[in-house]
Amino acid sequence: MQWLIFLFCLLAFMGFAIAKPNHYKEVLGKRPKGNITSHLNIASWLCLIGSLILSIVTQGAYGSVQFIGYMTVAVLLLVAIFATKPHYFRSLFYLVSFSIVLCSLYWIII
Amino acid sequence: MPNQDNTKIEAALYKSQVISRFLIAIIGGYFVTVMASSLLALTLPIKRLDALLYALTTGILFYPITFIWVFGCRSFRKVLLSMIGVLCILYGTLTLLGGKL
Amino acid sequence: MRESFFRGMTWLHTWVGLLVCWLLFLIFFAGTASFFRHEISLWAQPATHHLPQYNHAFQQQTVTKSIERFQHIAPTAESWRIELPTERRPSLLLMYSEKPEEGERRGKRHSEYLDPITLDALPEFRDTKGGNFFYRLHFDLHYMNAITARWIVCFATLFMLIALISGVVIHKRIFKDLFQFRSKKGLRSWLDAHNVSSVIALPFHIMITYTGLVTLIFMLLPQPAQQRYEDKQTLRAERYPLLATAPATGLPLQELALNKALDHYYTNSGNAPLRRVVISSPNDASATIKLYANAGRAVQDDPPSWMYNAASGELLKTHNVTLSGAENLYGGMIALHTGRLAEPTLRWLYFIAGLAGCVMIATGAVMWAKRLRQKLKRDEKPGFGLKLVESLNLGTIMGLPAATAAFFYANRLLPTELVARADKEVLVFFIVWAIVAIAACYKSDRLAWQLTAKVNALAWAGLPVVSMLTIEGNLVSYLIHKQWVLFGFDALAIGIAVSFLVQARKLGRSQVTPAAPSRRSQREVKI
Repeated sequence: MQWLIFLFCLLAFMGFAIAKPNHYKEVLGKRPKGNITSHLNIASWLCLIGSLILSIVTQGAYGSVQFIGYMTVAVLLLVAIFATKPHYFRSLFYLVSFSIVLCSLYWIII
Repeated sequence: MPNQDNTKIEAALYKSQVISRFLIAIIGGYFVTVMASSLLALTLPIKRLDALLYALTTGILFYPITFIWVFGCRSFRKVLLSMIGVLCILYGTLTLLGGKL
Repeated sequence: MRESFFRGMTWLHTWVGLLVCWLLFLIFFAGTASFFRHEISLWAQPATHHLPQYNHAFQQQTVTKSIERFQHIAPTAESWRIELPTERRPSLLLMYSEKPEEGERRGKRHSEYLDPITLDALPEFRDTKGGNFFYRLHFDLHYMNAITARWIVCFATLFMLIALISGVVIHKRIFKDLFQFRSKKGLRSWLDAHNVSSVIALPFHIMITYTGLVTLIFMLLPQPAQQRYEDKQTLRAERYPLLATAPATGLPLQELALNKALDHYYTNSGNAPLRRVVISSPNDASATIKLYANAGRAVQDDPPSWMYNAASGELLKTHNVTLSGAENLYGGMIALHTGRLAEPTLRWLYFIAGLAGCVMIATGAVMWAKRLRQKLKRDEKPGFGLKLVESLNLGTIMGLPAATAAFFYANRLLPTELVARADKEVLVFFIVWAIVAIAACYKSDRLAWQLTAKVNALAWAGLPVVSMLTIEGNLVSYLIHKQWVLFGFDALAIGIAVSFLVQARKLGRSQVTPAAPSRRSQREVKI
């Protein structure tokens, strides 16, 4: 459950990052077209709020404190990736999505 | 050379204003905070311990707000006069309501 | 108007920040270390390393045994206090205070750390402050009156709050360039580092600064308390109703109804584990038993507490069992600040955010000096102010970690039978810090930074080695025996060493000054 909250948080910030034109170009090699950035932003906000709700529902006030900590770590991780190896971003995205599926399955089954 | 003198005077004026703004912000801000939170503690219509705790936990906000305002406001005269005004009003209300400092 | 407002804020941010940055760095540094206060204390006390994780199911038994011990060693004491082991402190702490002598306000206090199961004294117990040193340093500083120190800390914190708010106002771009860190760009990189470290933990920074003020608020703002309370005693009695003591009867207590009280407590508190048991005037018929719950993960600082009549075992009063909104707000803020509620994951998150705070302050201070250096003309001599700032930067930012390492070395290397050993550990801390600071006054250029970084790297890397040689247990054995706290400490020391090494290498490599910054970056750098 902890992991799920963190992964959703990370996913949200990945969305925020990619919604910025310069990072978009860095990762995908072209400039964002149309209103894809605003879609990305909305999706990220939903992800972030989902993560917050998840943590509050499962752990109450304690969860909200922890959620803030997760945000810090998520952004720190992304800053580090963009500063050193921006092309890892894609692999990170696949990794995060895959882990979210795994964690959800684990949570549903157990 | 009068031009250079002028800039020197301006610089000195600027420096003295900055220092006095600091004094106003640090000291004035503290007294605004003290009196505003005292007022809250005195007037909030709940149990006295609860009123006190609310006043203390939220009262701190007055300090940065005052500080930012002192430095954000352009006119020095306005800052000085309003600070004196606010302090007088707060002090007046507090004494009228029977508070003590 | 808008323009001048931002200019004012920029100015405010720079100067308010600069004025207190070194003190704030110390406060943040000590505070960040204090999140691991009990973990550091555990590391510093090898005698407790082999105590197993305490099972709360033994609590009743431990309390009973402790009372027996008290009756044996301190039958005439004024109060007995049992601090039960927690998840973070495996040993049992027993304290008692004697009756005050004529003219004394409070009696002499004694304390001992014991094995919670057998109640045997711990062998080779060393006199050390451990994590408590950083905890006290965080708000009492050192070598000065605690109240003066707290006032200084309070004002530094107020300035921090102002610097934070003005910082958010002026760096509007911080949220826009949230993920941007451009390395090897000279001043630009420092600004990026400053921004990143502030933004990623901004909620934490604001929370910790604000709640930090709340912890000292009764001292900082005494006036609100005087409005509806006659004096401090009335307020104290209302805030801590369990502290009121009944007058002594002079009759001896027949029997301590401990079990009845404990049973009542466990039944009515939903089997919450205990944190503390206090028995006041244990040999008078007016004796009371106070039971303090372990609040666990609740965002509440004062634990729920229950007071019983020691003779009959009847419940007299409870406190903090139900809280009003204001008490919740106040207690919650203090709980957030102290982070006592945090379990390991959250504790590490606290630690990371605290480190971000240290980086934020350090980069801000360094940036001020760098910017002034950059403005200097080729043959211009740096002024006294710039030199002072540069020396203070080096002395504080690199001196504190070195001093901390020295403190830990002293813990392992000073002979255990030394008189006033705990104070000597602290002395070592300050001597090493003073040495670095004095050296920084002499020279504070890039080479000096590189040298201190190397010294720090060496010192921190050596720490697990020295620990391994002086006490039983090392990184591998901790891993095998699942002593995660000790393993974490040593691993962290190595991690710190590595990061200092990286810093030293970076300082060595970027010897050449970066190309003149573009106009745009120059404008931004001015912020």
